[in-house]
Parts: sequence; structure tokens; C-alpha cells
Amino acid sequence: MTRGLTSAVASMVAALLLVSSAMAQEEAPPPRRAPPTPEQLAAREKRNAESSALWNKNPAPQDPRDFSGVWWTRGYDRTFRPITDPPLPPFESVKLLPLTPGEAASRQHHLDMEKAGTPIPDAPTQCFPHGVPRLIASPYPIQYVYSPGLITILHETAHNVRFIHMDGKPAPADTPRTFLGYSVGHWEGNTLVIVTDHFNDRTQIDEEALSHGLKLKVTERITKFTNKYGGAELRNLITIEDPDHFTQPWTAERTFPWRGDIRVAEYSCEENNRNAPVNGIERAK
Amino acid sequence: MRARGLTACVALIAVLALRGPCAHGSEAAPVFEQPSAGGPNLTGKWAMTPRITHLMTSEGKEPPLTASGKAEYDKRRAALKAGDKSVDPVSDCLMHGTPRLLYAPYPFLILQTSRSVNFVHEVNHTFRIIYWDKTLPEDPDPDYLGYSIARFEGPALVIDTIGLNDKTWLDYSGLPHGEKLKLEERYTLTNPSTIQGSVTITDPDYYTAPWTTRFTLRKQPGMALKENVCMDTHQM
Repeated sequence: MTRGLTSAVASMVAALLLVSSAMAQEEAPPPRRAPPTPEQLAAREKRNAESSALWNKNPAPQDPRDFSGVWWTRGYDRTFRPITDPPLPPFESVKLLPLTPGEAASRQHHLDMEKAGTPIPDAPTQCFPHGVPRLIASPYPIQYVYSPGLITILHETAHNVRFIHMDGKPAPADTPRTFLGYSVGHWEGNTLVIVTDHFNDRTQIDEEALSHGLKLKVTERITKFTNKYGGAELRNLITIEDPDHFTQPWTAERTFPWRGDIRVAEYSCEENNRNAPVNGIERAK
Repeated sequence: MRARGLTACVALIAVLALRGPCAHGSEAAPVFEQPSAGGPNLTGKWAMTPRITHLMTSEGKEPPLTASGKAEYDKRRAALKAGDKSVDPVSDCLMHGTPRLLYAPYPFLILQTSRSVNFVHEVNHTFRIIYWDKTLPEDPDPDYLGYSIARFEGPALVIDTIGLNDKTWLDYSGLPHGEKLKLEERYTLTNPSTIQGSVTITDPDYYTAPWTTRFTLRKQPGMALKENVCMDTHQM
């Protein structure tokens, strides 16, 4: 539901976002926070198991190829980073980004502009669709809807809608370049493989600093699995290719626990857009 | 922006610190009803033909506005006639709201599933998710699209909606409504490519009696919708 936030709450949100930005600076040394105690870890696991039980009270479909229903990623990470085995902390994995010299300079410019308090406006700040993979990181619920030849993904955030064409046909010859591109999907075993291209160049790869151009191609491999709490979860392995920005394809990951307990709500970005750029400069209002 | 933004941001801090799931949605899990058997399947791409910009009653009359409703309507019509489009909320790319979304000159998908009926409109990529709940909540927070529940009634899909804010117009001519607005939409498949539809509008603050307006939807080939971004094109 759209609920106008009071200005006081809006400023609080803005402050929280600033704090979170600072916390996500992966170049900073790791925080000198004491590691959690065994008791804290156990309490966290207990909370997670309880949440998972609630989320799965209305269970996800049994069919491993049926993703119908609501999923919601845990928390928010405003960056995409290459996955590694074993996983590396962000300030290490950031070094593995295969940036072209141009993208490395562009990325640094984004970081510098943000540090100067004048971040470069990202598409969603103007209520444009987020772009892909940018949208996949959104910390809002999503709903998969299946219909013959089409999978529709309804995103709560700024009412983004993705259409995954499952009819086996490639993008029509006159497909325009758009914020969310043109997505064609097929099944490999129980993995939904989505290839998206025909992007415009007006969105970012991630919220922080990574850019892309017209050659961007994104391949998603989405698989349903049972997590350690016994709940359903989707894993999306996202391969990003754009030879003008990256020297080789690289793969990031997002996971989405099943959320049988919630529904996708109305989200009007256009009303009271707190992030609208002023004279081209993004600012929190 | 909606309230979940705040919660998500708070959760974000917690998650960055803890790397665990947020403790969200702790309220009791809702029951997801299934549709009754035997109803129509309306899945497809549809467009209103002919287009309707000014709603009339099914008897072909002007809607029964109250005195204050008429005063508001006349004010809007005068402004539009004078060329002032800024009085129209969609000129700022605000959501059309229900039921005006139906009258936007763009096609839309009806995606009917056992979990929900979904209306996905091309115009400004706006969607409604409607559940097969048996009852409406008592006092939902008002928003643009409202809180809707669906059921089958004979050959018709029937959608009841409440919880609408007063920031939208019922149609392109500027017919007003308030937060007491209740809607009943009916969709009947009269042949595989035609839906006869109606909306019954009840709002005692603006109309002296409930009234019904009719429309026809024609099935369109394929299921593809174009990407339409009002904030980019400013065309609604």
C-alpha cells in the first residue's frame, strides 16, 4: 500500500541509507567488530529457523520448475561481485571484477562523486525501471506468475515488471532497446535459464558504481532448492557480459527465500519520490 | 514511497551487520484461497474497444453526482477545457488508479492463476494482484489500486475493491470519487475473444446512488507488452 511517509520518517530513511552506503564501502578495512559469540550465533540460527517456519507455512509449489508465488531476498547488498569458492569478503571479491580500463575509471568516478555528496543519478532515482541485473538486487518482494509461453515477474519495487518469453522464439527483429531489455527463457533440467539483451544504456549494473553499455547480455540461472532451515529458496546465478566494460564474463549470485507469509504490495515511486535528482544531482530529500 | 521502504532500510542495516534474514512479516500468515472450479479463464492480452473516455451509466445517462460531486467535476472539466492538463493526476505520472487503469488507451494482460488474478497493464508498467480471498479487510490503508478480491459468479469473474485513495479520477473526463469508493467489476467471456465487462461504482459522498458502466474488451494477438515508462515519456 502506498503510504505517504512524514518528512521526519523520510529523513530518517535517508540517514539510514547514508549509513548503509558508508557500511558498504568495500575498500574500507573490515569492521573491527567482535565476532559473534556462540550464544549469539545460536540465537540467530533459532530466529532464522522460526522465520523460515512461518514463511513456509503456506508452502512453495512442490514442482521444482514451478516458482509461482512470492519470494524475497534477504537484506540488501548494493553491489554485485564475482562469486568465488570459498566465498571472499566484499573487499577481496571486488578486486576480481574484470574491469576494462574505461570501466575502472568510470567506476572510480562514480565512487568519487558519491564521496563528494553528488552521486550520479541511477535510473530508479527518476522512477525509471531499474535495469537488469540492477533490479534483481532490489530488497522488495517479487511474485512469479506462470502463463502459457510466458513467465511474468512482478516486482514490488517501483512496480517493475519483467516478461520472460518461454515460447522458444528469439527476440523479434524490431525489438527496441529498453530499461529491462528483452528476456528469453528455457529450462535446463530444473534450472530456468533466462538470457536478456536489447538493453538501453541508461541503467547501472549495481547501485554503487558499475556501468554497462548497449552490448550488455545477462544470463540468469535460477534453481529452486531447500535451504538449511527446510524452507524453499531460489538461487539466481547471474552472468554479466559486456566487452566494452568487462574483459570477460563474470557471475554474481542472489538468493530468494520463499515468502508464503506476505503479498506484493503497491509501491508508487512516482508519488513523493524522495530520490529525484535536482539539476541532475541525486540527493536524499 | 510506501512504509515497507523504511522497514527494508532498517532490515538492511541489521542484515549488513548480521548477514541473517530480516525478521519481517511476523504477523500471522494469511490463508491463500483457491478459486472455485468452473469459472472462465480470462488469461490473455486484452484491449478496450471502443475506447471510453467519459463514463456513462449502463442506461446511457450521466452518472448521478451529488451536488458536491458535481461541483468538483465541473471544476475539473472547466480546467481541462481551458487547456490546463495539470489538474489531471496522471499528468504527474501518478498511477491511474482503479478503475481508470482499464480506460487507459493501452493493452493489458490478464494472468489468471490458482494463486491470484493479475492485471498487468502496458501503461506505465502498472499491475494489480488480486487474490481469491473470501472477504475484504475491514479498513485497508487507501492506495491507488485498492484492495481487491476475486470470485467466480456463474460465467463471470467478479472483483470487489475497496481501500482506494482520493487522488485518482474514475475516468479521463475527471469523474471524482472519495475514499469511500467501492467497486464491483464483472468480466464475462461472451466468446473466446470478447469480454463484456462492467464496473459498479458506489460512493455516497460523490454519487446519489450506485451506478453501473459497461465496456467491451477484445483479445489481442500474442502476449507481448511494450515497455512504457511515464517518467521518461510523460505520456499517459
